[in-house]
This record gives sequence, structure tokens and C-alpha cells, in this order.
Amino acid sequence: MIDDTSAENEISFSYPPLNEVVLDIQFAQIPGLLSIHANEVWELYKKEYPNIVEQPLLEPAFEKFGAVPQMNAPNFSVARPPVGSRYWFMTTDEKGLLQYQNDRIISNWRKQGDFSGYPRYERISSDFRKNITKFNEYLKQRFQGQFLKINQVEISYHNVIEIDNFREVGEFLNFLDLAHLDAEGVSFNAGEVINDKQGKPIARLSIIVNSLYSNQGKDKAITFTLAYRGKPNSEGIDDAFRFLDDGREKIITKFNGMTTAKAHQLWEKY
Amino acid sequence: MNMHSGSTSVFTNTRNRNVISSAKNLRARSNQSVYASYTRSAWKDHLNSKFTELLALEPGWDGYQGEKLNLTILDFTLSLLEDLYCDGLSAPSVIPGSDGTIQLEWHQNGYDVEIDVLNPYDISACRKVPGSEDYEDVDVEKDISILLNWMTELKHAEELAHVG
Repeated sequence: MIDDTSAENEISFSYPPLNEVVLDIQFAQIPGLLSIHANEVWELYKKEYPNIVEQPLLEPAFEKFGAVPQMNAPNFSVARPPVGSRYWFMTTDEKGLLQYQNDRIISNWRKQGDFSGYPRYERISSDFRKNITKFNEYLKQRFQGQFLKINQVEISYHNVIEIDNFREVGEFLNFLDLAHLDAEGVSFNAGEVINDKQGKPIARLSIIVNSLYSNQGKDKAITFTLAYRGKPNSEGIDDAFRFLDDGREKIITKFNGMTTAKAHQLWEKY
Repeated sequence: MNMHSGSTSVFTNTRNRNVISSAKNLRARSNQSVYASYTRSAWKDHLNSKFTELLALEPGWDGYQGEKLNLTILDFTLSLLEDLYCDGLSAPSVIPGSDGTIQLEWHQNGYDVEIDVLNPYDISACRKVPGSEDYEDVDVEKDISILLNWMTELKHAEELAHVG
């Protein structure tokens, strides 16, 4: 996936199928922080992210463990007045994206064109940390000492693997063999609970594969997403970024283990 | 990915520069209310109306210093209820705390369970089983297995009550 060198894993690719990297921090809603303050938040980042787009809100997420999916379980959502939005603050080349809503900040690196501009995880994480810290300082000054109470963190790597036929999926992903099936599409979803050294669950690693078509339907690809999500050890920024670092290590290791030697050769692993 | 995801899900085909895209992440509503999207759930109607009623509580609702429902706690509680749902078990009673917290209660045939959601991943729960005068107290964070076991036992207690 990754032109990402880990001191522990030493896994790098010259031409990985990485399309997007997302670092996502969710926090308790700040009393008094309203939609109207979004402009003040943008001002914190406007110099680097001068473009803005408005999007619908994202639902909150809380990873829990021990539950078995129930068929008739209700899916609840809170419908809030239509004054809340999610904002995309974007760099001029649109590779860099900072998403903001009143309980979440998300950093996206997106591939635009070829892969030569991938800044590496360390840089993405460092920049995101600066932006989170900036927002935290803004809260303290603007809202009488309020600060971030982080309750969920997620890191995800999104890959796009171009193929001619879905029978070829197994040539890239060693856990899916469709060679004997003329599939018109692919959808795969698996989750793995990650435990700490004491055996307590700390995160969920999700593996998602889906088929993708160009608008004309001529070109095919598969998306291969690995996402690591959970609650950090504490509500503070330090533990949030430790969680992201741990997640990235897990994702790299899992990606390497779930993709084939042939794929590694194609992507020029070194 | 699902509607919780911050991925922008826009992909570029490097071979011929066509954009391959998929759209997600819709959440647009017109009124402040709780709704459940799975229509066959026995809990849906009861909890929909109850939480919508609680969302409307104003400061001082209890005649004292009662706070509005904490929305972050509400979000987590709703997420928890999706996991706790047990086919055949009645929906819980929902009681607001004066500090914005939420309490869920079940009382079935002498089997009592109370779950206090104090914050996301900060749950204080207790139960009393038939024939016992003692309460069992637990603190729950991420692993809700014990609460799920209690739901199963509550369901059996409810079934016994109907049979009896």
C-alpha cells in the first residue's frame, strides 16, 4: 500500500495501490461550540487549506466488543436540526483535506494523479497533530477552558487495484480466490478484534473489499480498505496519536500478509 | 465503507483518467428527533418516542438543576442499545439523569437490571436476580459481554413470566 517505512516492519513499495489515507479523531461535543463557529475554525487552517466545501454530517461511531450482530436490531440515529454541517477544508491541489464537524476532525491524504506526492505517514500524522493541537488551543481560549475529550480514533488506508476481470482478485489478495467464478462484482467484509497484552480488546481492524467500475463500465478495479478503530487509553491527544501509530503498524503488517508475492513484485516492494 | 467513514471514496483510474466514484455519508434531517431505521424491531416505536421526548427537556426540567440530555452520551447510548437488542426482550425504560446522563432499566419477573451511561465507555451497571437480595455491580468500558449475558437472562425471565 504503502510507501511507508516502518522501523519495525521495513515495508515499502515504489508503486503501491494506495489511494487515500484517513486519520479520524472523534470527540465529545463541546458546550457552546455551534455551527456558526465553523468559520472561526476554518480561519485556523485557511492559509494551508484555502478551499471549502460543505458536506452532510457523519454519524458518530463507538467500537464495542462482545456483541454479536442481531438480525432485527434497530439502528438508531439522532436527527438534529439542519444547522450542522461537515466542512471540507482543502489545499489548492486537493490532495490535502481537513474535515471538520462539531464532534470530529479528519485528515485525508488523497492521491491526485501519480503517486509521487505521497508525503509518508510520519508527515501526515505530524501535520494532523499540529492541526488538532491548534483546534484544542482554540477551544481553551474561545470556550472558557474547554478542551478535546477524544472518545474514538480511526486510521484507514484505502487502496484501489485495477484489474481486467474479477477472476484476477486472487492474484492480488491471497484471501479471495475467484478464479473459478465469473463474478460480476465483489463484496467482502471482515473484522478482527485486536487485544492488548492482557487480552483485553482495544480496537477493531476491518477489512473491506468492493468492486468498482468506471462511469462507462469499461474499466474495473477493486477497493481494498483496512481500517483500525477504537477508543484510545485516555481522552488526551497523546494517546490518540499513539493509537493512530499502533493502527498504522497493524495495517501495514496485515496488508503485507494479505497481498500476494506477485502483487508485491508489481508494486515493487523493497 | 459505512456512513461513519471519513473516506472521500473518490478514485482516479490512472490508466485513462476517468473518475470512478462512489458516494456515501448521508445524514440530513429536518427535526430534532430519534428515529430507528429497522422497522421490524420491537424496540423501535417505544424508544423512538421516548428519546425524542427526552431530547426536548430544557434546563431545570426536574424543578432543580436538571441539565439537558448530553448529546454525546445519547449517541453512545443509542449505539449501545443497537448492540444490546435481544429479540423477544421488551424495550428498557429510559430515565434521564439530572446531570445529562441516561439510565436504562429492565424489570422482568424479579430480575432487575439498571444500566447507567455516564459517558461514552463509562457504564455503571447492576442487576438483581430472583431470590437474591444482593445487587451485582459492574463497571463496563469497551467490552459489553457481561451486559449481553444479562440481556439473555432477562429474556428468559420474561419468557418464564409469560409461561407462568
